[in-house]
Amino acid sequence: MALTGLEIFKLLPNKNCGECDVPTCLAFAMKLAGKIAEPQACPYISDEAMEILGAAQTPPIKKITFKNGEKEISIGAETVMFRHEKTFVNQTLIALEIADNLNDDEFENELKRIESYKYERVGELLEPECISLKNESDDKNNYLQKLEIISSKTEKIIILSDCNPEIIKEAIQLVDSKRIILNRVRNLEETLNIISDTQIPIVLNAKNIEELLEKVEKYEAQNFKNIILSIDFNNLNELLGNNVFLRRLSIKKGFKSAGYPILTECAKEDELHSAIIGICIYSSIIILKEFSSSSLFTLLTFRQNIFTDPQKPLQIDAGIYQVGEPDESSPLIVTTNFSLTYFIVSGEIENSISPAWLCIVDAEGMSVLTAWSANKFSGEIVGNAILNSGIEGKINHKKVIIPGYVAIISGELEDKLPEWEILVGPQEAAEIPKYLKEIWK
Amino acid sequence: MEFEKPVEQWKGKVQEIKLSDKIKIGGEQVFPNYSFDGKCSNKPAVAIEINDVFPENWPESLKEVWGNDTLKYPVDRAKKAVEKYGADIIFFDMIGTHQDRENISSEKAAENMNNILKAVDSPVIVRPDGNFEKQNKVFTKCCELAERQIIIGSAHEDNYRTISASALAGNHFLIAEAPIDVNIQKQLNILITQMNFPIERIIMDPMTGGLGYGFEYTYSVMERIRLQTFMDDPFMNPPLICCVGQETWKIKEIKIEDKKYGSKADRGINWETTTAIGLILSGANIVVVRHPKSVIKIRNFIDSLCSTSVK
Repeated sequence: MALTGLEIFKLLPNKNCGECDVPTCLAFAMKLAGKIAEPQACPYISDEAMEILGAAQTPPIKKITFKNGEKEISIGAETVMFRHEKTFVNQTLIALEIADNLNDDEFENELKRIESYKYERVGELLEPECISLKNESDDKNNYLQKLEIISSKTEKIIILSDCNPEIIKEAIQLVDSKRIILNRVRNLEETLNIISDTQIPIVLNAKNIEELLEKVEKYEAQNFKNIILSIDFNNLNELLGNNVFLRRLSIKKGFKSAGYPILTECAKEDELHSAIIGICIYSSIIILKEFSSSSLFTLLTFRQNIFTDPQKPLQIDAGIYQVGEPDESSPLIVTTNFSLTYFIVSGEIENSISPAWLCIVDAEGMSVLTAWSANKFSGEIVGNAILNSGIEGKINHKKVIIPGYVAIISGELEDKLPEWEILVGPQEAAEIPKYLKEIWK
Repeated sequence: MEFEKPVEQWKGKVQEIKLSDKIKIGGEQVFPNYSFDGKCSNKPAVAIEINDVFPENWPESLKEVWGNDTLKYPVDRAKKAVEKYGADIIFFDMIGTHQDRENISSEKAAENMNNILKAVDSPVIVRPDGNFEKQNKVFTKCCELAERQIIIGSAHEDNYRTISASALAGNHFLIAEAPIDVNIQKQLNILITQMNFPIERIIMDPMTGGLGYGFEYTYSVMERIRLQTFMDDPFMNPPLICCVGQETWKIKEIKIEDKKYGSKADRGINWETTTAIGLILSGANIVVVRHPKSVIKIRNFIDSLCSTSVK
């Protein structure tokens, strides 16, 4: 269970040496409580304190790490019920399913199609991380051959689905154990014997929570640690309920056997629907069986949104940006450093065909209205940003366009920039092209 | 194995609002559709957006579905939305009242509204566009002349007096809109109720961030609002409305001409549906959309989500 700042403070040496880069032990304790510092930062911390803090800092949901090419990808390690309480830590992995009974050409084409799903958005590469290889053929050699193709042609994590122990035995010799997951194994006891010396994660499938927790306890007792949970569901309400109950049991009730990542196999008829619930409500892996590029692109964007850290809004560096090729007579537009604000505003300036200078103000990554109400986008702050940006050497006019929503700051901005003309732009970025056409001739 | 189901019970409850004989919203005492915790009450309602003028800036795929002939006539659109596409509610967005567009007068706007009210039985949300001065004129006229009860929007922190007074005098429902902010939302609800407007007739619009454009802010703000509702904050219990369509069909991602992203038409529907479903999961009682296929998909989701409880 998490400790309070004061409880942590009692464990610290109380030297106030500042070597952890925080002036006092109390302040450091508060940071530890808020999980924005690590206990290792204190050079004088006792082993006993370290142990207590370490246990308190272990997240209630087990973390499992995979190898994805050169990168590592983790699931689990979650600590909260709602993302606004802190953040959701590791994003839901998306797996695409492929059957082993396709002929070689079909299989290669399908694999190519899966590999082509890569999208760039807000500076991040979005792609499904896993492939679920389903044993439909029940032919060991065929399955292993397909597995080899996937493992050599992609870097994705591979979910071995519906396999019997004979296949698994050889499969785990073929592929790095850090990039496989076993799902729906046909003979659990025998499979566990085969993997008992490895760290390969195994999915325990069950019909309901009771049955699932029984299984977990049984295999925990046999020292299996890398467990993933999966419960069948008949409708979306069951999926939602099972996931909510498992998360509550582990996070709020300290129920250890519920503290593992969840895998959800999305229902074929309403795949997008179960996928969305999985992403919002606590699934660590979702398997999609039918997918189109448009639904994948939407889901990946959705996942990117839900797993954005609410403590760190996406932001870009403050400063002057060129949109198009502006010259000394081009307009100067000012807005905040919230990355989406930047993308929308610069996109609309591009639409307007009129190149412009865009002055991005450090407003701690907030959008215009939020930043203004938090006093991060006042006339004073905007004025200073313009004066310090060096824009004055680049343009031959002294006109600045501010967002319409903060027309109210124009007075204060005039005081700050007495020689400048303050122009109030439109409220919505979509109006920028029309505005520039009318105002900037 | 023995374990107690971790059910959560709350004191507070979302205000139930009866918008018409058929349509009720709110009333839940649990997180959205957590029927395993307690009473879910009414299903989320799906509203379709129509306008008073031709929506030029809609993407072609969307115009095609509706048909240009229908789109020119608000009454035809309203009828189609209800009778063919199954809208629970009509969201009448009067973009034509904007002083920089057609600048439709407040009298004409009220007439347009009454034509819609006569054409369909469904509840109608009425929202004028323009600067505050223009909006206030339209609010007043619409609230005064409406032939039946309407839902009028939107009251803002900086412009709530005229609309609240008009809605109160006409016995209408009122939408209170805050910029994705729990505190401003509460403040606005308090200000409106201080004008003797009953909290039981307010619907909150937390403002919708489109998917990829701030969606996560709306998602979390709604969860925070509902936490306050369930902790029995009397000023935070109105139902929530999310305007999904208008935040979907204007974005870059659904306009890109690239096969890699799938067909444009599908992308728009997926984007609108996904946004709406995500917001239903975080508490929306009304979602407003544009594409008829989105309505079907969202309704399937609602039906499956509101089916039976966990085993």
